[in-house]
Amino acid sequence: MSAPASMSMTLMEQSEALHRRVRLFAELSLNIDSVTASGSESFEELARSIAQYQYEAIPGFQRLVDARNADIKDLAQIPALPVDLFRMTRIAAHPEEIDKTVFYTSGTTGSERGEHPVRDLQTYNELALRLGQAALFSHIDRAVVIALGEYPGKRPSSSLGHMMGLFMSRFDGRPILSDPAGALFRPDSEERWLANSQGIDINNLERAAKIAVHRSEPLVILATSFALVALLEALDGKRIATPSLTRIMITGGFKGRTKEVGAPELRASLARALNTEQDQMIGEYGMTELTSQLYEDQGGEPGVFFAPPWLRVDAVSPDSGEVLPPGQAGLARFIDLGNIDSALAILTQDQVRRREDGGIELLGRAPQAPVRGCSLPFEGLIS
Amino acid sequence: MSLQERQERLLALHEAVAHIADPHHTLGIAYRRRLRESHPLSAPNWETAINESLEHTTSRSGLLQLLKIAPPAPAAHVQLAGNVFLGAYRAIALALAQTSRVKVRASRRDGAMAELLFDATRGAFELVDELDAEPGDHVWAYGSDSTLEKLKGQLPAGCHLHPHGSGMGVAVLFEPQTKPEVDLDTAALGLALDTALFDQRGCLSPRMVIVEGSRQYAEDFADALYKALVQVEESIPRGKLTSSEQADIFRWETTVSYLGSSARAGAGMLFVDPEENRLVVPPIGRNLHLCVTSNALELLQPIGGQITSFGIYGTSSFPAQFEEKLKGQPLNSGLIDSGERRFSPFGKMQMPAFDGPVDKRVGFRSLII
Repeated sequence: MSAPASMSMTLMEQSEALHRRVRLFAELSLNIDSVTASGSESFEELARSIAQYQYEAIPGFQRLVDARNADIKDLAQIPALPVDLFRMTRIAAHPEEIDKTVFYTSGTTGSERGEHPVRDLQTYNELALRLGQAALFSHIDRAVVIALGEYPGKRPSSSLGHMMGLFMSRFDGRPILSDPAGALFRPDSEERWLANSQGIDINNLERAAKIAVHRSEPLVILATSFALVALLEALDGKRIATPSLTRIMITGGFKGRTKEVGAPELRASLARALNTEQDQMIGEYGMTELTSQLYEDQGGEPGVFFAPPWLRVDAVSPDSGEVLPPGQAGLARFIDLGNIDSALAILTQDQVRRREDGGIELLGRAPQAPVRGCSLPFEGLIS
Repeated sequence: MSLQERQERLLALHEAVAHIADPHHTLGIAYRRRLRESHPLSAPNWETAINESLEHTTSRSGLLQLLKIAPPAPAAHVQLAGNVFLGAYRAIALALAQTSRVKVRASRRDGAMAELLFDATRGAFELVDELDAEPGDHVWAYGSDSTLEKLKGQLPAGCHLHPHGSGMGVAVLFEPQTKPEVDLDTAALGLALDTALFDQRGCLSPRMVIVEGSRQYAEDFADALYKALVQVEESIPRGKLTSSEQADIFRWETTVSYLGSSARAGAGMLFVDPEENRLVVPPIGRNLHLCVTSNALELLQPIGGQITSFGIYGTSSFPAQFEEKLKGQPLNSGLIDSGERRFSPFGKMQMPAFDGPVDKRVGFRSLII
């Protein structure tokens, strides 16, 4: 790939090299034997290299590091960017003209949508697929994969839509409505996106389930919590005949929605409606500003998520950013090695607690300075 | 109760608040002792606020005018919030102007003003733990938007709600087209005082500074404002912040350090945005976001509903133009619809003198439940 004049070759080469290193790290880190055998570089080494690259390539990050007088060789000192920033300015080490894609936030919490420019989708895809294979499609070679989401188009603007499309392509890849042995699945097909503004397409969900039964393959349903609530409402007590293994990826909360359903109630209702077990429901946590995701352990405690080796999650003090010891609740700070060309460290408004076993408990959104009497909170208004 | 009796109660309240404002009067001493014990503002801050923002200097005739314009009600109820500690006086005055049956639910966090007024007026109103409004009653309520929304759902049909929730002030400075130049130092000092009072917790407190003009003019004003904020901090230091306020500040400081250069100005921070037309509301605690624009009217129109107060410097035509632009756009998502925005010069944003967002508004508009 030739670098445009607006990005120096040195920086482009650095970025390319970092992408290769991160992909290799991901490949090796999910296979313990390989790691041992290869003596792969450490998370810390890679994080330091990415931080140094971002310091050189992104003036805003450089300003922030200098203002804090932070030593970016120390991971705890790498400033984490508040997610609000993605709504205010472009966060990228590269110029706009070489964006491979841009993922946008849903825009439910502010007047503007945040955007995360991506220069290299190969890294995004490899990381998402490796983790998806390990956490969501474990012991599944092939499955009928559908999403209770709206067809995102050929070039999804949401990272979730993109990831769901990837899973459909990789773990299924065949037409869903025609002959099971037919042509390969077209990634731009609308066939397996079973929700739109009218609601959930129950008929095609039933058809997908039948095809899975016919093929003797599992059915994997990718959905947001809100879409699953809509599904239950549409079914209105009716049950769907599903194959013996039906797995559901549940992502997202009810931010900005009028209807909220408790997680245990939702899972119990889904198990009844889709004739599956609650341990086949796997929570996923992701966000536009991150390249990587977290998943619940299959059959593990709901609400406890585990990060892949290339993502580190800490609870930090909301008023200083200091990393808190395991067991203490704080704001989630992510160090995502996948965010090579944007922001290595991200600070969210989600409260988490890190457990001794590495699990991350999601505790909900942190309360902001309350909107007392007359005051508006920070983030209440950004335009 | 006759007009005469309502007038007597109102005047008794007025006399009581004048005593509270007096640092040498028993009531004034008691009030200051209560504030010293628990209030997060520094003593110079609440002392300045008492002097500048409490309407104890309102004229007798001005006060009695309320009797003529306040809509009569069978009963009036007042729900107060802790951070509008001086607002208790005006809210109770409005209710007393309406009716003889006034019930006040003071803030649990800071009920000092309401309690002292109750004692000093020998029970011109009732202090209650919970509101018990009935159809036809008027309710003057302060609090968070969520508290007010909840209250709205709890009141019986036929109640008149006057909700006063979130809001903020915006300072707008216009570069003069012709000489002579305005005195930027005076303007900056006035704005710094507006910012320091209540540590920006009030709905009249400026949070953003919009400069309509050149970048150079904005930079000149920023220099003057920076000095003024430092100067004001010396005489009126910032008080205590809650942990959530500190968390907001940490995030904001991180954010603006990424976006551009910011300068610590006293205890707060002044951020001059390198990008034009970007509005970011900083957290409370004497933090200001200065933004340059070529058209303040267009820039602020989309967020007009959130702005309860304007500080204006350098033009006289902006208020009418802005109100025209926002015609029909309710304040704060329709919840707060008690009247027009307030416009005042820099240095006077925190001096409502019974013309603030709650008082002599045309028709005392309320939300009928």
